[in-house]
Amino acid sequence: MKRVVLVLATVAAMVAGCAQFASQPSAARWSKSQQPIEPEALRPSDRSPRNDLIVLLPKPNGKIGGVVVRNDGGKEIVLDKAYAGAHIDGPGEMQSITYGADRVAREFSSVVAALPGRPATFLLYFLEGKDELTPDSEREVERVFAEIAARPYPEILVIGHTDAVGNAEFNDHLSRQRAQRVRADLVKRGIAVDHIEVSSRGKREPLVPTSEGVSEPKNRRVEINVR
Amino acid sequence: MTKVSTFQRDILVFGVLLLATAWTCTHAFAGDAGRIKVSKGDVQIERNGKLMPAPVGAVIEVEDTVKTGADGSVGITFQDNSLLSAGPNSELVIERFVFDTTTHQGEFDTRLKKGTLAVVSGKIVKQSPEAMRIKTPAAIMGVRGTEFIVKVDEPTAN
Repeated sequence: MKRVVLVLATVAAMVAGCAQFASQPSAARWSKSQQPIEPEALRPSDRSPRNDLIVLLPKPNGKIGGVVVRNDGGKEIVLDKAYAGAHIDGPGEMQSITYGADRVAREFSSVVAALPGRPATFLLYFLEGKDELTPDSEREVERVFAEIAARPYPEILVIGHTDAVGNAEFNDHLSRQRAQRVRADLVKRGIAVDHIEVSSRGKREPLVPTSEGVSEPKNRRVEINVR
Repeated sequence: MTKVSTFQRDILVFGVLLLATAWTCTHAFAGDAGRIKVSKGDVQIERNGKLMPAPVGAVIEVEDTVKTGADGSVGITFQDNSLLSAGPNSELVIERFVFDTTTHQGEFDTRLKKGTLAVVSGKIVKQSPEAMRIKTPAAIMGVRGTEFIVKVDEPTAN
């Protein structure tokens, strides 16, 4: 009997420990970094020649947050402008450089061309209290679905929302129906159903915050995230 | 049966449970880190010492090495919307990928052993700058949110 208690206590303790472990993303649980040696890092710094290059690309939209480059000699360069670069040409050596757009295009065309399409978000709007698209979104939906279907192996998250008219239960149900409707339409377009995840938020996450009971067309929506 | 043997059996049971739980901790949450979206020419995944083909749709797991040949290039999307691509004659190791879809916290470590790499940072970096790191033989990069390219020339004996 004592033994059973011991075993149960042990299991409980370990499960609790495991759960806490799992809740901390910073724990290196997936890296299995029992491979403690990084051969490159331990290599005597004078052994091999080096020729590493890092160049920032212009960002299509949004500001550049930059990259910090640290070399094996303890030097640090912050790159924060388009085409700013760092060149490591020897052990412990590192220089700032500026790389031309034409040179990037010439030397890096194949790697840049292999970048997957940028993840995207689309919004479709619905008629009040219904799981039917507005006429505007009805016209838009063809283009949106075509763009999603054109992606190689699209991974899709569909999230349904409502405005603040009606009680929580009604809106939870409506938002779920809207999301499921969009999923069904995507599947009709030939997108594999197991590539589509569906979620619904009722009236909890309005795009435009309103008081209870307010009819707001911008909140009657389904968000489609695709990557 | 003596008291001692019961005790020994308890220790054995304890040990087995400990090992099982440890295994669960390291493996049960190891979901897919990313997926291949572009695959041209010679592209292979090395997993647990075995080479396998890397077509569009193939899953990328932590600790995978992605290798391209002279005519190869590959593009990968990760769960936090980060994008990586590698050009010809490249070798890329996904050393670590942890991502919490609710808080967007995570850690992302990649090593470019040789070849070329293009990086577009995602939600991990937006949440915690420099939680994405790219390593090369001579440097380590902390990503604060940007798009950039990295080239590593294969070390030549001299």
